Amino acid sequence: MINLIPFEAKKHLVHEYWLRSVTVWFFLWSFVLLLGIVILIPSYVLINLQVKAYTASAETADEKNASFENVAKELERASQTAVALSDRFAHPSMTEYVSLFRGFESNSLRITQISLRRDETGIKEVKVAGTAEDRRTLAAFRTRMLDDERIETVDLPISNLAKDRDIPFDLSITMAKEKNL
Amino acid sequence: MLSGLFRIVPPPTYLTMPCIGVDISDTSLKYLSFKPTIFDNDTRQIEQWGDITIPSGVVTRGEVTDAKQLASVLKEFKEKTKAEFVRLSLPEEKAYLFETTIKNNTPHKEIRGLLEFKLEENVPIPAREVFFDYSILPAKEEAVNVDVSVVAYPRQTIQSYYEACLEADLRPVSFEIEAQAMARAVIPKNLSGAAMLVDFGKTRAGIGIVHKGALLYTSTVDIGGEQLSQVLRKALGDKPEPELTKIKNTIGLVRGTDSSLVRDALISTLSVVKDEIATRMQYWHLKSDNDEARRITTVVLCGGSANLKGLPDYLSETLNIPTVRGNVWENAFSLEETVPPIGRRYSYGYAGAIGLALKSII
Repeated sequence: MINLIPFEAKKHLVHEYWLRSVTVWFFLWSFVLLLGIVILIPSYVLINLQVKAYTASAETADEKNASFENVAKELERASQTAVALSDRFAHPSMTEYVSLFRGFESNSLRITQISLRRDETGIKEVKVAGTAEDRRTLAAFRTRMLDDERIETVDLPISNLAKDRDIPFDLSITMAKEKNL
Repeated sequence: MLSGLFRIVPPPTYLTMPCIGVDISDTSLKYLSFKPTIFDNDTRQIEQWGDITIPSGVVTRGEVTDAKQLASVLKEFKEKTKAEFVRLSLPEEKAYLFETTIKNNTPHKEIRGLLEFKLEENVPIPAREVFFDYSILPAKEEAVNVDVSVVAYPRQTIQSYYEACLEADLRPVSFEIEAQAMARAVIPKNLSGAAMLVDFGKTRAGIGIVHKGALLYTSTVDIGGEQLSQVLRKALGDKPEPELTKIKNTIGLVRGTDSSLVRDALISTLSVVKDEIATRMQYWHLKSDNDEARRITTVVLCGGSANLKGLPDYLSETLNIPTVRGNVWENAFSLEETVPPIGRRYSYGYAGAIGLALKSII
């Protein structure tokens, strides 16, 4: 087809054509996009509502979970306290031990210090310090303690027998484990 | 495949840039457009049509002599039609047409370069001062050479029409020779051989030869309806133009029973036109080496003055070739299906505008 239009005019026409093509495509895609949005709006609203419902449900579950955790912590703490308390009441008190050793005192022997060491199984080691008038008194004191079934061993160091009178002593006593006060 | 897709999803009108065919002659501007159709086989319907008188001295023998005045005519056209894009016809008087051959399957990029050399041999103005375009004529695939029809116009002529359009805020989409546009409208697509197209206008007669749908020859004879009116005035006395037109269209070349005054007056002028046609015909046949395939098989008349009574018969008889008034709607729609709003008598003047409006490719 012969067309004698000037070259510049042809160029302008081609430019115009492409511009229009791009505009049409742009319009078309915008329309498709708009149509897509319109079509997807109901689904979006539905999904959004569902997500909100699930979020609310998850928040409620979280809250419940948090309260359960608190309760569990409290329970754990209570349990620990209970264990501690039951441990405490499972072993004789210090006062009972002091009273036991005070019971072995006599007029010629005075206990000045009782030292008790306790582990989870009970009293582990007892140290009793004091002053005895003479060796016989000290030995009698040891014998009285060994006669008690609650006491397993009484360790009297030789050094404690160095003096004849007013003997300071420092005994190590092992309690019989199975025996209760 | 793409055309199939376009049938299903036709491109929007905004993209197809619908145009109005505008045929500018020395005396009038005729325009016509068809409603955009979705499918190729849809029946075309005329959307707009009309004519605007161009004052004398604005376009003389196809040359724009008053660009401002032409622009104001185009502005009036724009106001009437609200057109943006137009297809314009160019006057045959300024056209240089020649036919040449090039090797088959020559790349399109090279063709223009080759033709530029041939321009110098065929066009009497420097190649840099012309605008030209070409059309490759249909040929067999195995052919070594192909015929190319080349049309060249002085740059100045095209520029003057282009600038007038721009001044009127119109965007020209195509410029082509008036005769090519007319051929598109009136020459049947299945015509064998060549056809001679005679555009018998008000001030001149354009002669074109069309072969395989391409205009290959064009010439102008400075005799038109106005000259016929002048000889009638001499013979019948001073009469107003409408009355003379009526005489031409009702009596014309038909010999009356009482007097043959009108016929005798007209025939002396028309014989000159006939001789010119015969000369061009002879030239064409000689140039074509009396090739039967290129022989002129019909003469088709159009143009406002083709209404002259008895003209087809006169030319058929004297040229010995069937001569008919063209059906300007030949390639637009079937007259059995559509009744055009333009009367047959006026339609001959719209052949150019119809042909331009029919063009669908830039």
